[in-house]
Amino acid sequence: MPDHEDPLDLLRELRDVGVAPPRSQVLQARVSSAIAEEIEREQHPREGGLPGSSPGRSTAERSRSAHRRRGFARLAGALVPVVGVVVVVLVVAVFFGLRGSGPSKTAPSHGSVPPSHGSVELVYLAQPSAQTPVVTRSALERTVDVIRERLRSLGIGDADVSGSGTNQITVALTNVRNTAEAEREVGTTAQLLFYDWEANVLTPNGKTVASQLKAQDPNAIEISQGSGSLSPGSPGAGSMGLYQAVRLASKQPYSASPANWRIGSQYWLFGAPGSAACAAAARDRGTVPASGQHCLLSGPDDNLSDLKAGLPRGVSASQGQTLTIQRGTIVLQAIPASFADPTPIGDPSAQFYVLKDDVALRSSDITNPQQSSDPNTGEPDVTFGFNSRGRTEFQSVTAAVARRGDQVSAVGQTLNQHFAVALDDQLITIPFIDFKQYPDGINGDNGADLAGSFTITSAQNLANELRLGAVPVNLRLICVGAPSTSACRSARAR
Amino acid sequence: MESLLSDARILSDSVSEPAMFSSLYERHLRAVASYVARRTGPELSEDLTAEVFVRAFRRRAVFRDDHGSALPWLSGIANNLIADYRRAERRRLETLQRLATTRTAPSETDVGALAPELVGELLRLPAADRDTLLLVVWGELSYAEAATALSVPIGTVRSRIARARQRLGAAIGKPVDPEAPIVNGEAHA
Repeated sequence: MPDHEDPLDLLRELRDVGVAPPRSQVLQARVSSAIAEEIEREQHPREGGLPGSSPGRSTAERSRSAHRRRGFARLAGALVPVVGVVVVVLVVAVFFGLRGSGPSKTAPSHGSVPPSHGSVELVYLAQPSAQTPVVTRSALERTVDVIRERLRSLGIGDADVSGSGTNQITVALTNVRNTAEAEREVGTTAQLLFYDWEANVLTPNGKTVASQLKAQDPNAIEISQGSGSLSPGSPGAGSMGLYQAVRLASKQPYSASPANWRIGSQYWLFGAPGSAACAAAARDRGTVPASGQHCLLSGPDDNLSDLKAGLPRGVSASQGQTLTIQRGTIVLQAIPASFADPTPIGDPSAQFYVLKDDVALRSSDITNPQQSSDPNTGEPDVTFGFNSRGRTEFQSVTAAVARRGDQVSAVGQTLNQHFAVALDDQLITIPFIDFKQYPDGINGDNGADLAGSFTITSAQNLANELRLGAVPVNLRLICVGAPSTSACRSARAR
Repeated sequence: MESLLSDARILSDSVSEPAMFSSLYERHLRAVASYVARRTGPELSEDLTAEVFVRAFRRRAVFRDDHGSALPWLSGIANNLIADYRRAERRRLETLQRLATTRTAPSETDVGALAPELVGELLRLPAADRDTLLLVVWGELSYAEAATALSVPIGTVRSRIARARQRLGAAIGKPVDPEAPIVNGEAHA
């Protein structure tokens, strides 16, 4: 065995004996909180009150809100800004359909079988997000406040929320009837994301639509303008199947910017068309494998161990193809054809778009999300304003969209441009900006309105979720259990 | 469109904008953590990895761009830190010695049988030789990168590794030809 004659080769073989591969998530959280302390040490205490944390609305806010309602108009089915107000159609079925199916769902990766009744303790790991690259003590405190407020608004009074250590949050609940529901209510964060559509969405060649409009690239035109009766962002208007979308996304280079929504990598595992793995996965899920198509075996997850843990019974990771989407690119599901019956991401007919992850606005840029009623129809809706950053960004993104519309349109051909609104990983709507009417974009002072087939309760829930969406960190549930069980203790020790 | 920023750029930007530093540890966390765990064992490795990045953060203003990648620099910081934890290193190597005999690496080699002598000799090497050798063999650095990590000339890296390799070869009864090409694809006639 000449290969192993060299002592250094032997030594190399021994290198991982007795050590486990690094637990990236835990390590990242560790390092980030250590660096956060360093930053705080460098910058010295610089903490103040938090804007928007007061639960009551001021008189000024009320009058602004009333002002916002005036001149409100809505075109049935159409998604256009009218009189300086963005009308966004959001049907609540989509919103609830998303919970639990969206790629960014948080799933407990460790933990014991939770008790079904009585007291329960949820331990979360606070992880860096793009807006909070390091989990500082103040970010942790802010998160605790938001969770507390949310539980209060949901009428869950017997809750004790506290930060523990540098990066963990413990939520102790008593008199809980349904642990799963409590878990969902605490941990779910609906993230509303606004993207400049054409500047970020990619055609199959990996270039942005915006960069190819002048050249009249047919794919780019279809994605920008829709095709036939299909509006932009619909399934079929230049969309792709899941595997094609993830593969395209996985080919995009790592590109980090503070505007990224997702900061880590995202992992997917696919089975080949007709493979035994796809057959086993379908059997496990009680579905029929789609012929000639790759199937989703596991994912998306933010780390490989969860990806492996999510595999169907009887399927190993080596039977599939792992695709990694690096930071800077995101896959969003097309606007559902039927709001009442959204397509699950693993469904063979589900359609997707690949975007550069350059978020213009996000949940943290909106203020005072609340359930309200449309003054004209009386239907429940959700309104919100923008904070100062949100106002600036909203004006700036709509202005950029309008300017591009002007640039790419030619005599006799108006190519109005769009921005996209997504909730988590689901496109919700893609309104266009009429560049002739709004050459300088739309003023964010007017706030925005999410309207649709809401019930009062569902509109309230969405408003609450958006409020929780302002959590500055990503929350990862690491333990569910009876208080002080060994499972939670060991989770805490991680 | 934002392109991939170089490590040097991230570090220089992070002087005025400390949050930028997160891009650096995202990039190198795995490599540093693996190296530290191989050197000091699983118990301490997470603490020490965090400490490597804290030290790097404090010294981010003085990073010099020799290889484009900051990994050699980070590995050098890791080595200095390991020097403060020689007892942990010894424990790790003793555990490795014990484990390797019972848990042979997957390939069909006699590494398990030879491990006690091999690791025993590794423990007896002068610390500087061991640090240099393991940067290359376990830290997966090139000789030039190891030289950067240790702030020594590349010739020093070569001679330390050659010396260590000969001692290890002799310890396991497989004397090495000092002229033979060496690890990690280093052209080394």
